[in-house]
Amino acid sequence: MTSALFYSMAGLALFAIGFFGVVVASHVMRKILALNVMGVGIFMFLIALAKRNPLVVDPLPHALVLTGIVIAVAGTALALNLMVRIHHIDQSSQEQSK
Amino acid sequence: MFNKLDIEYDGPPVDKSALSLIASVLVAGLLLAVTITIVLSDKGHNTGLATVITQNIELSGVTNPVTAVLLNFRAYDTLLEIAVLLVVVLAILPTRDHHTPFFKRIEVNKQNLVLSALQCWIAPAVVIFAGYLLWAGAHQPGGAFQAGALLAGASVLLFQSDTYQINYTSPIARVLLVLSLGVFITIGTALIWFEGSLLTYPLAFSGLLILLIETCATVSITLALASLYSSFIANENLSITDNKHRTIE
Repeated sequence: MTSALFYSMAGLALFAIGFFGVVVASHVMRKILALNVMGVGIFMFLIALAKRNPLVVDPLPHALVLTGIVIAVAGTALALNLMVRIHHIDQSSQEQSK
Repeated sequence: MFNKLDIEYDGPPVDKSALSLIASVLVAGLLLAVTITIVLSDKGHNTGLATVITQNIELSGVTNPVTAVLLNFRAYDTLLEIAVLLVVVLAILPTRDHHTPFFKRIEVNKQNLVLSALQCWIAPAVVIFAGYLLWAGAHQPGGAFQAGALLAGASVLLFQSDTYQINYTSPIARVLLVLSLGVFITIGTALIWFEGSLLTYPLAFSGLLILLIETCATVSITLALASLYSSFIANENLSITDNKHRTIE
């Protein structure tokens, strides 16, 4: 087993764990974290496949992953902000109903 | 009684998490099978685009292949990425008073010793290290995104220690947020005039143009990430003060 195969399989395992979390988790925060685990799995997979040939490293997947990380961070921030907004709306509507 | 039970019985209880576990194991298995076939089938002969990139690295103006891909060969992707970041910031930028200054020191009533000490020691070091990372991006791993992420972390630390307040909706902040996209688009379209196509750098100036774009991108990414994560905390504080007002009323 080459290291590329090993790490790509580990990345896929992370993806599967994240997928499980996204489906099962009931809290939005847990879902967001699980989505991030999924994303990290995909990044790891791409990085591992960049070194399929043990002598040459393909820089293109590295650049892709770098772009992906920034977009993932921005998406996570958006999701967290929306989550906080939903939480506040829930709280204020509960207070009003009291 | 038995009849009633018969009517109410609707199959064995379904455990949703077990079903999802089976589903994710199936997904993982399928993906694993595909990966193993891919990796084993090319037997390491396929080097992807590595050879093409290393052959053309002299044309890019930098010696780090990842930076060359990000800011020269696939600069269009990076341009769109910065645009996405700006769109996310626009989506959730808190609607705060834009007359308060961009950066202001606020009075501290209870200072957190650990946070303020961390801020004193780490913030300057982070600024220097971010500058180094930005410069190093030309020839070794590093670049605008790493530097921007570091600086954003430092500004979230500043925000948490409650000594400084940064207003991300002030005019200066708006200009800095749009800076990198503006510079990138200006350079890209100006190059249509000089070189004949979008984002094709002239050979003599490519290193300089990449450094200029990267520097602007560092500033914008820092502000974008910091505003995203600070507004997340600021919303929390905002709601607490809201609640206080409500109870007073």
